[in-house]
Amino acid sequence: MQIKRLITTLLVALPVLAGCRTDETLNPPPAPPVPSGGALFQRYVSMGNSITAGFQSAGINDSTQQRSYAVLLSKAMGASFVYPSLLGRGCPPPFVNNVTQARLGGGTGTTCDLRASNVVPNNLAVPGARVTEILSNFGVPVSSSNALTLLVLGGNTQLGRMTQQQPTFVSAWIGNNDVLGSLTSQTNPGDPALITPLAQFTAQYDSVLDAIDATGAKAVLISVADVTVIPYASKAAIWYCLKNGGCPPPLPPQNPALAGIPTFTVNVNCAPIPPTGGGLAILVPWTIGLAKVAAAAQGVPSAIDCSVDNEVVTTAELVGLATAVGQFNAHIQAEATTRGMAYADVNSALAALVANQSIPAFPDISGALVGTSVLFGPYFTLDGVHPSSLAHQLIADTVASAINQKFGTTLPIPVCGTVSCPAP
Amino acid sequence: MRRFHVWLAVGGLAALTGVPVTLAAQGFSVNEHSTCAMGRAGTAVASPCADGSAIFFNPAGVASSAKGHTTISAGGTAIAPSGGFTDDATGTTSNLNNKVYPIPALYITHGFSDRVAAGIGVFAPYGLTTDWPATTPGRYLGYKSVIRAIYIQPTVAVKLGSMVKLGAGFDLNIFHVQLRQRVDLSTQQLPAPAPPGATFANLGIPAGTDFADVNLTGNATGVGYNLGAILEPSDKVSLGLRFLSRQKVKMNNGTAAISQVSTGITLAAGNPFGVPAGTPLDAVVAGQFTGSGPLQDQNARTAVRMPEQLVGGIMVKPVDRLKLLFDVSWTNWKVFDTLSIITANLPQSNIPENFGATTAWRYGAEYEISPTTVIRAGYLFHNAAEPKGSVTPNLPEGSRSEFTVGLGAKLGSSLHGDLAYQYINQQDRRGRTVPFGQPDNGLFTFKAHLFGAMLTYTF
Repeated sequence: MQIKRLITTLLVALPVLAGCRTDETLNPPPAPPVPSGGALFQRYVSMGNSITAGFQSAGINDSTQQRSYAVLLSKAMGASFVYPSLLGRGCPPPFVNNVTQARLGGGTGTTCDLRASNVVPNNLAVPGARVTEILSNFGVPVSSSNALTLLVLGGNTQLGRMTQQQPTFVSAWIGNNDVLGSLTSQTNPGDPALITPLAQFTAQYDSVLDAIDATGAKAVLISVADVTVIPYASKAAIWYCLKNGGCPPPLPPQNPALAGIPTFTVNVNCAPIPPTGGGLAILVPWTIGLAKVAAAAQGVPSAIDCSVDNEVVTTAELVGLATAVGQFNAHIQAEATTRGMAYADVNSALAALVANQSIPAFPDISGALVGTSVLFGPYFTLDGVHPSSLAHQLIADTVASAINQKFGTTLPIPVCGTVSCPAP
Repeated sequence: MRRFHVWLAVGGLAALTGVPVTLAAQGFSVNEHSTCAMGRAGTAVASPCADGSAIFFNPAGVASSAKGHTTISAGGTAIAPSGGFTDDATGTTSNLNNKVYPIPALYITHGFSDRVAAGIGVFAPYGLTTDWPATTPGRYLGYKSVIRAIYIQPTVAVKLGSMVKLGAGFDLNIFHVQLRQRVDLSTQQLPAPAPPGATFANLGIPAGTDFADVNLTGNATGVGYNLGAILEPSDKVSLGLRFLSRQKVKMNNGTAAISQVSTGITLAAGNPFGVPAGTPLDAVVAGQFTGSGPLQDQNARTAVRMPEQLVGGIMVKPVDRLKLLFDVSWTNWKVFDTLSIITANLPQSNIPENFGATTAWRYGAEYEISPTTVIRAGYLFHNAAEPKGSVTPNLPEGSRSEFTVGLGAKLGSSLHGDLAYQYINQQDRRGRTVPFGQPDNGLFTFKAHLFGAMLTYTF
């Protein structure tokens, strides 16, 4: 009897115990919400250089990064978007005074604080990158890679990272540094040798586009900015008129401050020859012009001489820059059309700002001799090259408009105001 | 640019969370030491098999050895595991390497009189291996873990009257451990002037950048004992009880062999290490592996406790040729609470494990279908030793249901053979491949097929 009871107990217990075993399950994260701008923007990746990265006033930090047009555009898309947040002062910290070269937090041009850890950035743009550095961090003949190359890309390339992220949408603003490096050369502004040859540019640019196509992502290509109209360099004729006077409008009248520095001269070879000749077709970088004024103010005779090639952008060099920009953009636009990509032309907006003098023909140097910053208007920051937060909003609107037109999306324009953006 | 002269403050072993591994039972214990017992789900404490495995399952059973007879048994179990880890976020699965692991066993018993018998056994009650590809997501916790605890147990047993048998054995544990893991450069501390807590990830080094491989190996010995009692009130019923003692095995002469793994990263110009463009990142950190660097091969120490086991069981014979068996075993895995690893050059690593005691319920049956042949079957269930939060690639353990069948046959007047098969179906268990304290990030699965064979020669 006891044995039977025992057997019964065991037989009952067995299935009960077996039933105690319950598999646990995967816990996949909820599917990411479809961005408000549409599924097209589920994984948005931006490639580019300093402008896309958010460089302002010769520096970059989290504050400037979050004001990049790419970040603003991602907000318009409603897309999840991560940038490689630079902690602390930045890498390098932006200018707080471009005359004294003082930077945020007492940093210098070689200061580089750390970046946030364990983030996989969507914004892959690296300041200084030319089209060749999109493909390789070891561009030839001289690489423009820098400290930010590792901080942003972690040893990979922009192209490699873009591919890894399996984007659904890519923005590419590539090519600015393929001409800008020539304009901003400290040894020969406008040096034609520093303009990427067209054949090389197109081949490398097409390699980038092939890689984007291979991901299946849609894309917007942004035109190379016309570096000849940015306030970094001004017409030599303006320097001539400000110093010597006697120029007809719209050229400016004589500036008493400059005229009052006897050791500062602007040679007659910089004088305007209407309608577009002479000093009207020669550019003087503000860094060079201001350095001469400062030296003269200290009693050292200094002259802007438009025949000195390594101090000005000569007429031929200016034509070379404009030609390169035009050729690059013609190729970019043609490829966009061929490949079904959107094309955003920022130069129309840039030209409009020049026309209405929002981009000043000549920087405000009124305080420079007493140590206050040279100013370049509301759309450019203290280096005269990089757009301000306000300009980034305009760029975002321009790019969003091109995307809407090409892909039938309804990204809000203006972007800021419709979505929340950091204050300019 | 701030220059970082690399010195890895934490280094290779700090993240060692290695725990030896189970393939066949809860915790890292193993119960397959007899093909006969395996066929009936390991139920053997009340009625040990006649193959000498009573030395492990219940030393009192050795007393059944006939006077003047010697029994020698040799055999083993081949374990073919399969399993993997599926990441919650990516849905990708990394599978265990497809290998077969043998567990040998050897027993010799001799009846010295009608009441006294003795024997010696060699078996492995704890151990086995978890072997993942070196690319598995959990490689920073461990991608290969081996434990081998081989017990050599001389045993003496006596009969007290017609109903009681007692037995005792002394266990010498020949212990070996191996733990392999990768080290992620992105998690390594940066030296000053970087702020405290800053890591290579703050320089942009991506998570998942292997730069070192740690291979911790060591041998040690431990001692313990195994006690058993059997009560046979009738020829149809027997009761058994067995206690295997706890052991603490101290490994003082271990070696942590640390080798450099290529990151595959080549530094561009302007890098924060101040080295020329084109310099491999490997060259920057190479000094950590040579000279006075902290990542050289070095002595390692640790201690592992083998938990005590208490097993009770009953055997009944409802009919002459049928045995029904039931065992319940308790293993005190609470002793495995923290794993400490001490190395010569690196900070001590203390890994909370927080195991809990486990209970196994075993049901077996054995039926004599002819005077020369028996068939066996069984089922067992046990819970998991690891609590939530401790399930890692080193020990992807969960509760298990196991099913067994077996066959025993006389192969002559002195020779007997056994065959058995066992299927392990482990509960799919949530676990982590990320450091301790972070939430579980995926699901471990595990199944195994076991094949046993043993020959017993009596003379």
